Amino acid sequence: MSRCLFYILLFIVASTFAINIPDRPDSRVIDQTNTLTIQQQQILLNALDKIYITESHTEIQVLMVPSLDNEPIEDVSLRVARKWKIGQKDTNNGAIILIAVKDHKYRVEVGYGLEGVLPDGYIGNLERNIMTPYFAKNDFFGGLNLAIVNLGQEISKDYKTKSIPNSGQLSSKNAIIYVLAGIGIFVVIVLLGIASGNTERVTGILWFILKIVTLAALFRGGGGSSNRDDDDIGGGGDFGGGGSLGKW
Amino acid sequence: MNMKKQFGAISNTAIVILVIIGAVILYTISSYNGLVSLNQSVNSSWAQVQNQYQRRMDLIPNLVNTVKGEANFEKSTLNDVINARAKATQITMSPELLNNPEQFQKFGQAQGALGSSLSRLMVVVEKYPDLKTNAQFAQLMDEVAGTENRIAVARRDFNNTVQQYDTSITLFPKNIFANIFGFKHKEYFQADEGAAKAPAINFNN
Repeated sequence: MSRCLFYILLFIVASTFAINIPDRPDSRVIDQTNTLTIQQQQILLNALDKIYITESHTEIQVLMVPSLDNEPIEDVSLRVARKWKIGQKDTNNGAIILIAVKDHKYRVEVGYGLEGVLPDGYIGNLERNIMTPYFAKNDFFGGLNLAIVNLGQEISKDYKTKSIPNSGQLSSKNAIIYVLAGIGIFVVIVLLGIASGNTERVTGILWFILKIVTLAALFRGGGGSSNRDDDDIGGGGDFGGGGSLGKW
Repeated sequence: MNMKKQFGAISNTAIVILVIIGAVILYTISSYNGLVSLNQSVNSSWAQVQNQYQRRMDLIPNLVNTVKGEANFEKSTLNDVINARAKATQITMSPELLNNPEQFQKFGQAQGALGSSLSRLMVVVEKYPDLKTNAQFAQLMDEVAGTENRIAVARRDFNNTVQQYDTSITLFPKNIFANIFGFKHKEYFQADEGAAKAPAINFNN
């Protein structure tokens, strides 16, 4: 009996092991450079939350880091945006403002769904006319605040929910099928066992079945990722490389 | 009583065999579905690649016109872009390219040549301060740089999906199913196209 339990546990573990859980920020404003004061961060947060609430859960993330260590900023911003899944899954309405303070570089990375309302030219203008001048004066709060206000206005002007094809990266729901299949076989065997009236044999067959299904679940290998979009932050949005970079 | 025992014995083996067959069927189904799924990923990431290449093609006429208006602009660089674009449009973009390795590589080369000519154009543009300070032109440059970035991203994504797919149809035991169901290898994008990295234009000074 304990053998049976062992395999049940192994089966459960095997099913969950294949699912990746992405990292998520716990705040829409992350400042790793100690540039913004708490009050300033709160003001920015309020503005970002407002955009989230009024614009179909559009997520804009602010991330300030000291340096990128020579990695191209467009690579970093894309990786972060995708890993944190900024924006909602079906509308891809996310954006991230990444500032590398010591490098004097920044980039606004725009998700698939916002590319229409925030084209590269608009972002470039925003950077040239507002963000860069402020950042050059070391006024990161001023630049970010004005930028967010402008972004919010632009988004509200002409924002329609639309579904954009994603980058084609695999997000597998096969794990659920396996679990259901395992349970299905389990139930069938139990019913057969009960019907034949021999409980010893049922137990014997049961753990044999569990072994097979567990092996299948493990053997399937390289599982998919699950989208935890039941939360405020990190709704599953995808990015395709839109946006623009700036320097000061 | 004797019969029941015999009946019981047959039933036992039968159940085990049934279950094994069931497991094999299940595994086959899931393997097939997995391969179909990966194939779909390749197709949809390819669609995105085509999207972004088309976007670049659409941008170029506007770019060329804006630059032409600039007095004394170096003609040869501009003509290179126009010609490269014309050449690139000769290869029709379609999902069929994925099944034709030779055409696929030709396509990659044509787009690469277009990218290179664009890069050179952007370097030359640096020498014309009038253009640089023109706000409209700056926005156009943003779009071009953005498009180059999108192309780079789409190609990487595409290569990733092809890698997942290719790995899957090569590893045992899925390669058996791949052979049975006719899943073939797909092409990757080779090397760097000329302007795979977004041109390092800085219009923010």
